Amino acid sequence: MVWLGRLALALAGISTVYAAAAGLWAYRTGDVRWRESARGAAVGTAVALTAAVMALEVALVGGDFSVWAVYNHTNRGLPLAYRMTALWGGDSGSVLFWGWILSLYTAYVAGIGWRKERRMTPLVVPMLAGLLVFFTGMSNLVVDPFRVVPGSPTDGNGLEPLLQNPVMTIHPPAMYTGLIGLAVPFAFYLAALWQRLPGRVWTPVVRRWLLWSWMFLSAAIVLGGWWAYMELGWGGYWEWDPVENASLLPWLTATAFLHTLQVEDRRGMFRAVGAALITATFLLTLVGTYITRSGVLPNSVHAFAGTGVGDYFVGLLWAVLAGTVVVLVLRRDQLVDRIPLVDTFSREGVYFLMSFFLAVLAAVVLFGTFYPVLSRALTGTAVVLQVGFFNTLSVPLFLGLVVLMGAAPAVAWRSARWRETARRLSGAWVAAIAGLVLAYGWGARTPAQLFGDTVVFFAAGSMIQEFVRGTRARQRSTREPWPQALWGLVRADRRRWGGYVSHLAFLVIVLGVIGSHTGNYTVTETFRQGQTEAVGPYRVTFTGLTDVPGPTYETTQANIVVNGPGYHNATATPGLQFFPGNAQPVAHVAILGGWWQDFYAVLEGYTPGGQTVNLQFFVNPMVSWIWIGMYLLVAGSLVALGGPERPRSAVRAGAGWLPVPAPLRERRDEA
Amino acid sequence: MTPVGWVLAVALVVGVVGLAVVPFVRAKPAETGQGAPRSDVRAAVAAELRAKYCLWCGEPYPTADQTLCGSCGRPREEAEA
Repeated sequence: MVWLGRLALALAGISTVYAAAAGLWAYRTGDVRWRESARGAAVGTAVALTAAVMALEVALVGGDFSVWAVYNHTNRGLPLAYRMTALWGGDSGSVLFWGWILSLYTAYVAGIGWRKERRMTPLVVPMLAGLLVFFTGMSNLVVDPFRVVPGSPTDGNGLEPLLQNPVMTIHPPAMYTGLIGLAVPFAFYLAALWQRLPGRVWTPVVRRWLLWSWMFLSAAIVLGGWWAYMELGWGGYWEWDPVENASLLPWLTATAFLHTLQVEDRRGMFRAVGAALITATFLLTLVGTYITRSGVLPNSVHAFAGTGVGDYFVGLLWAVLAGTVVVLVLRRDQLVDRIPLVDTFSREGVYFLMSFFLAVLAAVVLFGTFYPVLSRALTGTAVVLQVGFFNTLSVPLFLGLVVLMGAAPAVAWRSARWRETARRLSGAWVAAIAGLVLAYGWGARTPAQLFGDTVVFFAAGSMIQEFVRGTRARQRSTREPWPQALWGLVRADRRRWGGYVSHLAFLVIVLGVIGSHTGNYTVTETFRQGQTEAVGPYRVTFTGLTDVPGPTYETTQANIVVNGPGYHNATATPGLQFFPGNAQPVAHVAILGGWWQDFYAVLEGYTPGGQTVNLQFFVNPMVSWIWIGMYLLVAGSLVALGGPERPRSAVRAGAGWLPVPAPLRERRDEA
Repeated sequence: MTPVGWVLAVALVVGVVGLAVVPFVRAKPAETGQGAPRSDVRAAVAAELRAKYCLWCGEPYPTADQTLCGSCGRPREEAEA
């Protein structure tokens, strides 16, 4: 398998170099044979990389410990699922996995995508193939996944204990699919810019690819939080860890670009902003990989992953940046807005402000993440910024975004009127007041909590009002019952209504985040066997300590019985997992989850003999709303992705569209 | 290397190389001329775009005889000029 894997990797390297060169030559000469050959080579690269991945998987599953990636990240007792997912447990497998996903995207664009879009694709394929040259080059020359271990080891070192969690079988692939997928809209954007194509041609294609990647990236970020919540045992889900930030950064700029795309699509505006955002988005995916894989930030929970491939990603980052700057400079005439901003109080003005907030957030997170590197370069001492820095700056910006999210649907394009906008938001105002009252009743007392809940309800009210207004309008014209009218409404413009569902999902997540910081508390208690203690409204009884053998580790777990709101004699078993070769045990938290609050228990330590244990309890309200929001967000994105590129109503209306004189004010500006 | 391994390796090489080479083998002399010079392709695309979309704001012209862009209000002749 080693031999076959290496052959496949070498073939993939040659094939992708050829695809990039032949694709560019075909674009230059217009020769169909070279074009088709480049397409074939792009598909061939994916076939070869698939073979390489399969070869490594066979080695992982079969326990071929003569292969370094197998020896270093698996062992005999590792369950099958973790053996398979050990593919991305180390650098060599991760780079191979990254390249494989990129090759699948490239093959899809070259094979299936070509039939749908033929203007940009001839340039997109060589661009993506060029990017693949880097990854296949890395796998062939720098981090060989089929490196052979000297001697004949009969067992391996095992998988990093923190990665032995079910969520870790989904989180990394989702993250890779999202992050790597961002290369595709970036390539389409550059291809459109280079060919001076109007926004109407490229925005639907770029939006679809961007939304696809954004959906996976969003889900992966939440899944990462879920993993941290279950695995790290500190009762939280987000700590502004450098690697968490690494995934958030491209998400922020991608979200901003997704909104400026609407303005480009409708008005041909904010072109320079859009160019900066999509460029930043792709570059930040490389920055994120650098953070994860370089170990440059030792204050990360992912520091175990760092080995040294990060420097190569810095080289790639500079190369991509240089190439993009050249394209942007040569096509700077395309970055001039066709229409000036008529009125700052307009839908496009709101979108600009949203993009500005998101860009500032990204700048804050980037600065805070790299502050240890900056401070070490300037003062010789690495200073790590605490959670307070990020919270202080990001919370107001996020809440500002929520306000804008709620206001946007009611603000008219071109020029809006305050009174009319306020009137359209009547339902949102009522919801905001209800939110304030509910938050106070729930126990919120700090200004951030009260204001946060108010604006979340305001935005949710605005979204729901849009659904109600649209459904009623449809009912009036079709006489349908409201469920049918709502269904027809969403089907008619999936992009818009799917977007609103995603917005509602984001609000559910924000509500969960605010809720988890409202009325939460933690208690640490020492128990003797049989002792019962009160933890808030709960009564907890420690019944004994048990040793439970696992597949590759042994767990010492405390058996506790919980009685209280929502639980009657519920058992929970927080424990400590001892992995061979690891000095520190790994916490195995016990979570009694619920709609309104989680009862979260951690075994901190115990005396020899197990007569006395130290247990820490967290009561975390509404954390489950964050996970529910993730599912809702994916559903909303799928609704938006499932529809045609243009809403049916617009297509129908377009057929009989009469020329409408531009507003006088706009004409005056033109003059 | 087992016989199965050899078969897989040969199939992989033939498949990957074949995907890139087949377009040259299959192309007939008449087809090779399909690739128009780049300037012609560009001109054709530009003409198609001018006919369909406003060059100021990118919005589509719904009808061929429309004289004003429905979105930005600019005259079509001005854009074409």
